[in-house]
Amino acid sequence: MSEVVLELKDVKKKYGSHKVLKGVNMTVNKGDIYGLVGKNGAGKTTLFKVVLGLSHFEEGSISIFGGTNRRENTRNRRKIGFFVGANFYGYLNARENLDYFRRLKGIKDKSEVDRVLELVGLNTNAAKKQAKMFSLGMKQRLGIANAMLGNPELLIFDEPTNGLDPQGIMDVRHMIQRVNQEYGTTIIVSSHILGELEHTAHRFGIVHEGILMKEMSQEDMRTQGQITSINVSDDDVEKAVKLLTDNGIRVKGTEKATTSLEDFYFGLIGGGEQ
Amino acid sequence: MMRRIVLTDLRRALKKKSFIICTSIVIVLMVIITIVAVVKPASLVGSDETSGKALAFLNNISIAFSMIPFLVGIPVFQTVFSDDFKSRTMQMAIGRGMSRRRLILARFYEVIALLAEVYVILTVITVVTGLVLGATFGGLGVVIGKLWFDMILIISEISIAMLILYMSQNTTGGLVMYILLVADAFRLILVMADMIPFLKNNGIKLSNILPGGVHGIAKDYLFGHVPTLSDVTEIGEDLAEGSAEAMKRILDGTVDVNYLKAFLYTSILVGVFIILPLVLSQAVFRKKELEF
Repeated sequence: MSEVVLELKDVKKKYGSHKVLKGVNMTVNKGDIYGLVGKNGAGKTTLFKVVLGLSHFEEGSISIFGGTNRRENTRNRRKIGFFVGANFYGYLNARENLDYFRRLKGIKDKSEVDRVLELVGLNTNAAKKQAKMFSLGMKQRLGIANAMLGNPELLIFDEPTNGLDPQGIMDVRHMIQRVNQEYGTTIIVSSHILGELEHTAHRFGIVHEGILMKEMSQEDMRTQGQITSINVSDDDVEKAVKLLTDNGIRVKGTEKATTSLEDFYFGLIGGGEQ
Repeated sequence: MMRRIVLTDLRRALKKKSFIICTSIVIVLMVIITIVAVVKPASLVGSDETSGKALAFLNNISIAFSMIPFLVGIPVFQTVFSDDFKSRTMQMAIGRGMSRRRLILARFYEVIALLAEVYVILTVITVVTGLVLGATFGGLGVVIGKLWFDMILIISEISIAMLILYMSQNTTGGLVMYILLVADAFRLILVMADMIPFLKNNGIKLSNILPGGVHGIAKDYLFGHVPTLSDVTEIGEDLAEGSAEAMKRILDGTVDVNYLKAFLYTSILVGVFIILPLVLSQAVFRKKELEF
């Protein structure tokens, strides 16, 4: 049985009378890339804030790396790196910001800053300007780099690809997979773009209106959501539909398969999946 | 972990332009005071031990120190707290497993360290210049002691402002409170209230319940036997009527020097206006929602 790094049991949280989390149960195993899927306002960020101790919850329990009480959970949070939003000093550049956080986290190895800068592609001249001059994409990258300082055992990324261009999105996707494979890091990543996580995560949690509706693995998704498609040429569609209907087979719908925008984009400009 | 956080943030703060500029202004002010004391013909008559120029210098030095709450206190407040809220570095520390209680303490220690750093620089300048100009160690000790005692008041005002800051999670609110305190705004209102006949007749001074009031009482008990340099100036120039009041009290032996009472009032200042606001800050901030 896999080691559980994070477990939430019946966690409830409200802001005033508005219930944001309505009894969330969630389990993240060691080595997982856990995709937290849900539309904006579903409760994903609140869930992360509760896990990180930035927000209090009224009911339920949380266990971080097996912690059984608040004190143990607080201590175990040192094993977490996270990116929930941009957090750095605008008047410092990328390297200075990361060096500040390296010290803050008690990481003695100075080369760690270069490692993460390279990992997120910020080892460029552009990164030498003050962080307040960064584009949204660069800020995202800097935040991700900060989360990865010191190779934490658990990484939490909240919407890490917001503001990134298609190549940036692809880079983050690859980086997440690389860090997971190379270091065995457990990663929880949230997004409201389903396709984004589909390519990356091993397990999924679907959040909707403060409830974790379902947790499933890639394997579950393949078997449970299986649809068989029969490809026919454009001219034969009507004939095929008639043939199936005449034989008592219900046709749910027909659609033309097209190249996805993502595929088209990368086909046009190059790059993308390597 | 707390020590690491304090030291890391101090390194950052000491490199911050606004802090460096404001500290430099105070130092420049000290240099100007020194130059004035050296160049200007001595307006004070020195004693056998202390030169007139040294007296002039020490007399003016309090001007530079009196700027500290504004010129240093405000940038310290901004550097430590505003950046913390604006850059959300606090969230980083808490998310990494630092308790909120310890985080507030860490920030408080940073404030003390930054203030102390400026005080040390000014003290060194004062001592060196004073000695060069012909002041005695004893005289310098008293002047410096009084100035360092004022630091307790600045710390208490920052501590009270911290309570507003952590309660509202709004740096502007905290900063406004700090400025009102150092500008003695609340005290001035209460001084007016002291004029109410009932309070006056019963010897009740509401203005004394504020940190500035308690600090003033403690300072009187501690340094009351030492004439201020303005006393000396006035006595030196003209021994007429009230100008020599302080000296007369000293000569008459009626001055109320009481180290025990000084300790008591200092304890009240520290306990009520530094520790209590800190503890309350920790309590109100315990369950605050932290945004990203």
